Amino acid sequence: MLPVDLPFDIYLFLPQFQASPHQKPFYGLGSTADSYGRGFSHGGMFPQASNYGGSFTSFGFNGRSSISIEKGRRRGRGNALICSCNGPLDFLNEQSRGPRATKPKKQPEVDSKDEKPTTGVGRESYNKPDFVTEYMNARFFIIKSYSEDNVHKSVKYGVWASTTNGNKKLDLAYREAKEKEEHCPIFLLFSVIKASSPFFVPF
Amino acid sequence: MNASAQFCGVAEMIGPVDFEKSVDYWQQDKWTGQFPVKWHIVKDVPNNLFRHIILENNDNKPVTNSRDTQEVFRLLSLSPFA
Repeated sequence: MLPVDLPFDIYLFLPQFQASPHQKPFYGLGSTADSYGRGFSHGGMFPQASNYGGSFTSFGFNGRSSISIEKGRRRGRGNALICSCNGPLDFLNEQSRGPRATKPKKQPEVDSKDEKPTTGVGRESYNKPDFVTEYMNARFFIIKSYSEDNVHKSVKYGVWASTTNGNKKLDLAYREAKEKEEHCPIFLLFSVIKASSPFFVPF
Repeated sequence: MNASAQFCGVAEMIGPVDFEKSVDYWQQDKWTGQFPVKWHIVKDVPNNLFRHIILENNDNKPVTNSRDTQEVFRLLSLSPFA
């Protein structure tokens, strides 16, 4: 069984990514040394997106995967989670350094909702620093939402729903994963598309 | 349209789909059924940071061109900056 790392770009969610010095910002704003957080502070549509890019080459299906294989063999079976959080998981700093810290009250972000979560899904339940990012088994699905509000509700209620076919596909994946001896989480990578064009037709 | 898209987080599917029970708080009624998820990461990341990721199992299209419930089997992490 091949080990499956989380998609390396999940590391991009981490706030500490900085630009490598040779990169140029796409829109000529700011310096290339801007941090993640400061990149967002200009507001708008992330004008300094290129600042994330510095570390792309470090991740992915490269040598690290084979290291995981060795680790897995040595540790045997059972719960296949490999708790080697080898990256500086710095999620907790998001509140002071991430985009929300620099965009006060303008957007209906998750944390600016008035209602309290009713199912115990508070802010403390995600973006934890101990989120395991290496798994012997894992499956990933892209989820697309055309409503940011629905994503907020998903965070709030801990529920998601897809189309009829999407539900079937995900349900099948979940059941297949359950049948495996080893733990095989199903990860959903959420993407929101903000329809801004009157000609926009989903799919 | 992709210019206004962004990844917004990672959740884990933690239970099977209940095809019978729908929830009423979505913006549209077209979403029937439901399943429980646990959110692990909530963070907005603009799509153009992912566009270089090619999905082999989807005609080598950029991951950002994926449709809903596209499975990601393998990620080619070739960096445009390499």
